[in-house]
Amino acid sequence: MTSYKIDGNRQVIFSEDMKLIELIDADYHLLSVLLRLEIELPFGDISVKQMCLRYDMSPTLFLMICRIYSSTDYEPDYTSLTMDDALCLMKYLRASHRYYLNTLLPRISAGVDGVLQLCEERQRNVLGKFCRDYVDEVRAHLDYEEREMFPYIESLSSGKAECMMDEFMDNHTDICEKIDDMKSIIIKYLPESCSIAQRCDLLFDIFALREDLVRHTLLEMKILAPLIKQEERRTK
Amino acid sequence: MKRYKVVIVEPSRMIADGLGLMLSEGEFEVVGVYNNFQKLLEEFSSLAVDAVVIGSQVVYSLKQANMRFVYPELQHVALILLATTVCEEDFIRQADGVINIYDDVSHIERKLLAAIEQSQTNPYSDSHELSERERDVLVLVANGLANKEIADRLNISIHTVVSHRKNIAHKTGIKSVAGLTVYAMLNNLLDPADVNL
Repeated sequence: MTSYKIDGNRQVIFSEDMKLIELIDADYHLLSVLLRLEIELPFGDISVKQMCLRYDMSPTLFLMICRIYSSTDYEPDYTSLTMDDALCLMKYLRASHRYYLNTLLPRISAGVDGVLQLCEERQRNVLGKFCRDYVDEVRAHLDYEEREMFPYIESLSSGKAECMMDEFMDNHTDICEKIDDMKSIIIKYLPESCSIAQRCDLLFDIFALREDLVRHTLLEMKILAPLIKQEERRTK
Repeated sequence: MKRYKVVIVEPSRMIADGLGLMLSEGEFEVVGVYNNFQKLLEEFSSLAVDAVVIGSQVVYSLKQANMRFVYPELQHVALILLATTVCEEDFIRQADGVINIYDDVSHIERKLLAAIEQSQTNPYSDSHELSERERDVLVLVANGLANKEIADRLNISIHTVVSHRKNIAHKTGIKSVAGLTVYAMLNNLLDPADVNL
């Protein structure tokens, strides 16, 4: 028996009045959203609205993030959001960066090293390099946002407008393609000498990173970028 | 920007042109309209299409229980049945989507997009083995050659190179040059000394 409400298409209806426990029951992946927003457990029986008041966050933004994570075809309406929401979203994106850099990527690197141990040296070299290059690419991508884009958004929020968001989005590289390739290689082509258990553990991490990166990109493209461009037009 | 290339195979000029016009107003580029299937096949390799919309009369006249098996060219494109007549279950099952002549524009676009996305996100199609030509292309890609250079080297058109690359990506599930290099190495298609590691 589910405690949350679903609509005619069997999609969860997220609302301000929903209890946090219902939210997590509806989609346990949202625990990672709460973790990144530094929302402490246990939540008892508080609702989304109460939690947002307590943590000084707009419920609209919070529910948008949840819907992006839970549904693939959700189109957020960013027009009702403010620069405070942009800063809050940025805090969330920064926390995601830390999660990728400090947790998922090291786990994937170690996983790759593990499965490659039993491979021939030549195979180990070529695949090891591919994975290291990918990790470097993701690092560079995140680093660019931290160094260039986020400080720009902060300066915009304190009143300086230069209209650079389009430029940032043009430089926004696709970091999902190679992780798909890595998945295909590990499922389809890695020699059988590699242990299946290690391989599966690694694949779970790869799928987790991929799904999260897709959501991360959606948050940037469908909420953050249009919101910032709206602000640029307003302050010009 | 037009995202997807589509061809229409339908003997009724009125229906074919009407559909073509509707699709061109949306995200699709209609790169060819044919009144029979053979004409499409002759030009198929140079078109690099994402979807083939095929009239039910055309399918019926081909009498094939498994079109993709008989025409492997169709393996990596979305096949959309245009129901102008009553269709047999067999044909409907082979298609990635069915559009009806009474469907409205948005409905048709949605069905087409869904069929294309489905056909493009499923790399685990019938045949996994790369053809000899695809291997040639793969090796050159892994060696860092651009499409134009590959076309010159193998004496084929750029369109054909693009279509080979599409097939390689479908069959292997790998899109990036770096990933394809790994694939080529793991399958002993490359001499490690040739690749800059």
